[in-house]
Amino acid sequence: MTFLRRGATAAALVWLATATGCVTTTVQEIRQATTGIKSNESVVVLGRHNNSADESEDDFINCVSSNLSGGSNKVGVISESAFVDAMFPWFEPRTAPLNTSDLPEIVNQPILADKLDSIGVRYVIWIEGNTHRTAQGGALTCSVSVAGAGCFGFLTWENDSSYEASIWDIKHGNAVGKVSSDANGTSYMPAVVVPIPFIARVQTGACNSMASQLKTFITKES
Amino acid sequence: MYRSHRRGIGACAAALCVLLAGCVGANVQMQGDIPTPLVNRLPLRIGLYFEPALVQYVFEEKIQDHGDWRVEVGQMQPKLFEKIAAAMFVESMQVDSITPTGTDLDAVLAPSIAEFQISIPSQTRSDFYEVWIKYTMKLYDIHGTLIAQWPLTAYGKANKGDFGFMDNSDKLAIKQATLTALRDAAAFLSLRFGTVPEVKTWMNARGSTVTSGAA
Repeated sequence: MTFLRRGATAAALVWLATATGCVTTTVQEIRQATTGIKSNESVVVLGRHNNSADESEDDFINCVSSNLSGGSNKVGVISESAFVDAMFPWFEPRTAPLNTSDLPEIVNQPILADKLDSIGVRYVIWIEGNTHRTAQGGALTCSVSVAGAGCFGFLTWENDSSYEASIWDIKHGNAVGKVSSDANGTSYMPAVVVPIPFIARVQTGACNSMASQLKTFITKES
Repeated sequence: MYRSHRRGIGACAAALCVLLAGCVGANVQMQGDIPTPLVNRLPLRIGLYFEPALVQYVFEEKIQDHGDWRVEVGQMQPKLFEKIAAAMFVESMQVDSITPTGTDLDAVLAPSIAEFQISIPSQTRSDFYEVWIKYTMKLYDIHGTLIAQWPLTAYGKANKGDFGFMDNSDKLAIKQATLTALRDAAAFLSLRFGTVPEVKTWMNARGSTVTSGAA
């Protein structure tokens, strides 16, 4: 009997740890040129830092980089900080090229072209967008007394992620396409003595979808 | 009764800590490294003069309901400008006055901080900690005559979402924003030095080619 009770408690804990809210993701792709990547070439994922309103979270940039460099069809990835430091001061928030028309100024300078060759970056992926809370509701009250503590109520909130990646081919100095990833999901937290969160991992969903699509986009020679 | 009383005090102390944590401000000692700028070297031998006010520069501000904010940015200035100058010029060295003797220099560069400002998310109702630094750059010939004087404005920001809700998130965020501003200063000095009109005129008169950065 004790064994069964322990088993049920363990199962409940595992369920609680893995319970998540639902996330809906949509990925779109626009191809402007052919792609392909050699084994000695790599990509770098950069956040746009010139516009505060659309600035992406570091977490998201790291998540996309990490997903690109792992799993099937993985590609070589240089971290944002390593690339920006190596190319300093050309990719700082106020000096980074905004359009591919600004690229020749960089790739045509021998000192910069040599550096790009040495670090082996073929594609620069610029990411814009972020995750924000679009709605929230409910109420939850917690109280502490001599007899103990507990919460009662119900909270719900909805998050929305919207990101767009622009892919530039540094070798040819042109834009090769765009991948956008939108996700939304609702999280819940009912509380009867103990609050139980059901978190919708909206940003992670958008990241996984975008990284997966980017891998296909870059590696598929079309 | 005694136990209940102790619990009450504990709860009050915890609440007080939470309240205080929201208004303590931050005390930042700037450290860190600026990468070497990837620019073409100018054929100039430049002395770097750091006035005491620059090296000892400390920004202090009391922000209502958000505590005292202090950023010690001065001690990082020599390291910053020495690194930039080493990449920008064929030769650079620190000098102890704007009229150095016993050296074979072409000019002396003397930076100073004219203004330093910060803003925190609760002031601007945005997600960003922001830092502005306004430098006054002066270039002297070796006799101490002013060749050029220009403002160098630097800006840096840090997203509060990247620093979580730890007690020291204010400190980490304002440190990151300041470091970004210092990088911005380094970027614009190394890329735009040769385009400052008076500097360009002086360099042309000397026969030095303006090939630095995006000139």
